[in-house]
Amino acid sequence: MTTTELETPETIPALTPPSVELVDRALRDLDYEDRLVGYKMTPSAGNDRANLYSLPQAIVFLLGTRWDSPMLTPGFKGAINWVDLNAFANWLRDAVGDAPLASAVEEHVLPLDSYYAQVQTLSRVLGMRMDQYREVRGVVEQEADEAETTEDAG
Amino acid sequence: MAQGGYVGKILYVNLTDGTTEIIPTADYEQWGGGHGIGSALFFDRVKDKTVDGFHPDNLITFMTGPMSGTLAPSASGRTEITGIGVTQYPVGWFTRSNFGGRFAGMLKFAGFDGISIQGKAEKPVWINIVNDSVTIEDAAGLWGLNTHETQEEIWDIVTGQPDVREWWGIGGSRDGGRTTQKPAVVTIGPAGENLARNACVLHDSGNGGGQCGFGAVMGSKNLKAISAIGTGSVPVADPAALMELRTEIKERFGFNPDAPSLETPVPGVQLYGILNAQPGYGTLLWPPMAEGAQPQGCMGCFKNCRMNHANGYANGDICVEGLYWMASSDQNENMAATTLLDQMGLNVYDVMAHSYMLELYKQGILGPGKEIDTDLPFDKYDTYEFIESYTKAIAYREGIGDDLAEGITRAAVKWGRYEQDTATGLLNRPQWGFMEHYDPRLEVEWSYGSLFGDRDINEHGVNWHVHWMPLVTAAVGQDPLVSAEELVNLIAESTGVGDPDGWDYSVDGIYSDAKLKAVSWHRHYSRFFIQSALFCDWAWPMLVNYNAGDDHTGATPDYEIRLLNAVTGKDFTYEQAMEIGRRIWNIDRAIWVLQGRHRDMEVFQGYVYDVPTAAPYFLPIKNAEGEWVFDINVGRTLDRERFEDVKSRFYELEGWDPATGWPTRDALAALDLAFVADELEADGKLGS
Ligand code: SF4
Repeated sequence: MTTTELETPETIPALTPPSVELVDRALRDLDYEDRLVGYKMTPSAGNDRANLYSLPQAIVFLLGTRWDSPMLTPGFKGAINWVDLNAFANWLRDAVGDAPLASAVEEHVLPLDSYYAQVQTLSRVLGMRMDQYREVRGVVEQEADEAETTEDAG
Repeated sequence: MAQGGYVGKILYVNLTDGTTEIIPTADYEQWGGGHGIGSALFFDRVKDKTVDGFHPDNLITFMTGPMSGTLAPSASGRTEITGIGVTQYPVGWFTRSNFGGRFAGMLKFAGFDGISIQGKAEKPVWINIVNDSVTIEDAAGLWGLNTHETQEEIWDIVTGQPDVREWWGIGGSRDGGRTTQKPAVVTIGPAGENLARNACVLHDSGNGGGQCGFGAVMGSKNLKAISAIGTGSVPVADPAALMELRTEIKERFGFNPDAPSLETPVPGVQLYGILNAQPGYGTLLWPPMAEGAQPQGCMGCFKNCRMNHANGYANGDICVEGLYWMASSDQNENMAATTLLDQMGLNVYDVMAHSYMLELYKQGILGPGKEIDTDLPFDKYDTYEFIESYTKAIAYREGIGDDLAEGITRAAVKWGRYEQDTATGLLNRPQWGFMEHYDPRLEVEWSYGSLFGDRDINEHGVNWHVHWMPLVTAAVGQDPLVSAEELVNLIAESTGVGDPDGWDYSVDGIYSDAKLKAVSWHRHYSRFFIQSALFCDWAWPMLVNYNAGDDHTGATPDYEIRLLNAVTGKDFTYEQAMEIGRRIWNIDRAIWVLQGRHRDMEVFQGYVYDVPTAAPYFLPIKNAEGEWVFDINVGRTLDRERFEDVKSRFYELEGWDPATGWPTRDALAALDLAFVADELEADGKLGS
């Protein structure tokens, strides 16, 4: 069996943690004009245009629903879900509003040779960022819970 | 050598008066089987060929081929449907559909090479075939059931037992024989009953004859289902040769799970099966193997490209139905949507237009109180609640579903969106109202063939190699398995066309004479081998082989002919078979002309000419230096003027009048179709 050696970066430095405002803005639903256009490439349907209206939707499209099984691996469908990753980086900066994430994609993902290697690395970059989003959200939710508990007690 | 392949009888059913007739297959054997016989029967028995698809005179056929029910590899399990369709726009052309499974084999085991149906029953009926016995049964108890329920009910009725797992006696007599098999049933769901133009026919769990609306045609005839069970067998002229060929094909071209010669370089990339044919690769729904799934296939096939899933959803759904709706992050919900689609009996290609509607919703054009008024919950597009209400609205013609049951093209016309949205490509329907399948601006044997024909051709034999091989290998970071130059030479050789320029997809290549010869080859090959002899499109032609190390020689055309001859005992040559394909293509063309086809109608929708391609689309091109390379072909359109010139040259190549696109007497006579020329002449539509 032949194997493909992936030329992917060994480490990706952590990004500056996002603010609550950035996370709220980045996770919102976008208007039609701000959508990202991708293509689902499948044997039985050819190239099917896919409009992506939010960052979570784009992540599911590109990486599937499991962080450990990005596109092209078991657990996802028999499709190549393709997005122009240059356009994706621009979209992250201009429409989604997460400039540090956009820069990380430009620095660590775009220079890679194959689309497969790019998407594998993208899953690491996005996974890391989503953990940061969750952390920020978690702190906010915890604060809200505490506030609620205090009110109840009152 | 003994004669084999055919079982000798074609069943004709007139639903209007409830009579049946036996047509000797020998009268039509010259057409090969499947589509060819369907076209010839239609031509002979439908006097007014301009009737609408819903008219009782529309004759539909369910035909097998000579190898159906034998062990011919990937050539035993397909059934071809022909008749006037109701989905195409603006005219429902005489057309075709096709499904896999075990219906074709079972029909032959019951003693019939095919069924042709005309007329309209007064009330809902189903056709019950048990060996030689044919009865038309009351379907009052089946009407309203979904496709899966209908089949289960018929299994109970025919076998007399609710759970067939044991041997059971057929026909109540000792001579009937015994079997462990369930009847093979092809049925319609609520969508067909409600005459939804996008209704399909369904067999077993997920074998659908989707395109062209034959589910609605059956519904218009008050025909709920056809069931067949038989204990006979199919005569094979040279069984030893057939078995040897099967083993040889499997070993040389198939995937060997114990010692694969080609494996995906990145573990688990299911799409790699396009190249190495690993079992189960065809399914587009790929749940984690940990959840359980096993390969499954049509009768007699060794490729087993389908899957059955432990979660019980979407079993056997190989094709685009697996992509119906994938907005949920829960894979089970996505798969349940596919099952619902099967049960309602809808053709995914048309009804997956919910994504187009979502775009209209996002633009503020569609929604509650909007220009296109609907209360379908597009605000919950990623929930199962949305897809369930959308699917059922179409099948039962509720609310906006009544528009959608006319097909998305007719719905867009009604909403005043069609011209505008096909000009921009928002609604990507390049020809005859069919959804874009492969890019009409680039992969032109697909688009030219569809436009000069009757529907989206849906033939992948060339596409696997010219498009998917370079795409899949690039996606996994691998060099192409075969260079562009070797690839086009292999295809030129195995097709017999000879000129590799036929597979040049460059800006100039798509208009060349060599390309038109490749398009012509594709039409004739498919009409005979895929649609009449019923080799499966997912396996044949085998133009290039990636499973035998450096020897990339494909099975085509040698093995198709050897298989046909081993089964039938005839002495077919490839050239003769291709001529039968040309003959079928021409009788079809004559029917379209009688239906009103003219050169002026053969134009693509605006976006094909005006909107450049945006995503990478791998195809071989011969560059300015004369070198063959795989290019990504971004920014391409089809040129209107050059395409008009293509039409003139293609018509001439086929023996059709360049001014009208109508076949000439000389061309038809050369194909022994003078009787067809007579009918065209009588109608004032003979080319000159
Ligand atoms: S290749 Fe797949 S669709 Fe074709 S006959 Fe085999 S199992 Fe059926």
